[in-house]
Amino acid sequence: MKEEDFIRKRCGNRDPFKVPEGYFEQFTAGLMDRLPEREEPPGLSVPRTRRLWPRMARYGVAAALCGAMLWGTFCLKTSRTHRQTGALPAQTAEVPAGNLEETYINDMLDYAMVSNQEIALYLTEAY
Amino acid sequence: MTPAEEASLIEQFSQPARQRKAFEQVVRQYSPQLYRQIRRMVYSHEDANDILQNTFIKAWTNLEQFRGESKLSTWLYRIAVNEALNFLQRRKDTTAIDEAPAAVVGRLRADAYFDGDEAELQLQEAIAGLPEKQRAVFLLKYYEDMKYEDMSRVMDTSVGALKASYHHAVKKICDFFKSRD
Repeated sequence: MKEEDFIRKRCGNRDPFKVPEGYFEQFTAGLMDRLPEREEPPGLSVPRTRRLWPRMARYGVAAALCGAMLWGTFCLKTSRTHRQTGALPAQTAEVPAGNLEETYINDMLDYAMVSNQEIALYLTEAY
Repeated sequence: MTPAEEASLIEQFSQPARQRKAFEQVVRQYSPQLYRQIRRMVYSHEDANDILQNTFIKAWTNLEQFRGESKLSTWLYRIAVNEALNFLQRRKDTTAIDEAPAAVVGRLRADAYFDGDEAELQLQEAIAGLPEKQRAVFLLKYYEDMKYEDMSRVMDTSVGALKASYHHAVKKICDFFKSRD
């Protein structure tokens, strides 16, 4: 290009801008010191492990409450039946009196699918 | 930097234990040429230094976005030129005036890190009168002799538009010199 040649002949293309002595060495060192830690790209990072126990405890408490409600309903029905018939139901009559409450609790826990171990853990560690 | 060296560096970027060291090599390798381009656009050493820092910090934080589709230097030039253009736009917005070409010459005469002669000062004055994007195109072609295809990726503009822009810039600079003779 004729016009470009004119500029080159007149001014050249030497870079007239200078930098302080040792600038680029200092720049590199300074920049590397200031560079932030890189965030891990999404997908490569390992998700934080969530503690399972607090959630299990909440489910356990909810299950126990449901069980208690069912047990209460069952007891209410049984007492009404007892009042109506004047005798204990056949199945309860066979159970020794001291074990009656324990049997109901076990039935309720079986129904709610809460193990003894879970209840023990809940009582000792959950709160 | 040879294509093999560049490929090796890019490979190291994906390894967390080695990416910092690899990036340091990139800074060492490319900071002089990026600095020159930025400095020619903004004139002041302090401003060029700040923009160069921002350029590399941006490159570092967006390292995973570089997929090796273009040359590493092209990607870095793209960030640097955008940073410089944003800086000039912000300065124009805050001061509400474009720095006059004559003021640029006055500043360069007083600058300890400018050692151009009168002809080079006149050239800087003529370049300062160009619109900012046209100035960036002229500087990349005239001083760096960058290929239009690479420049197209840097400026995100078609090759045809870049050729036209460079041609207009050259013509304006010639007219400037003729008006001074």
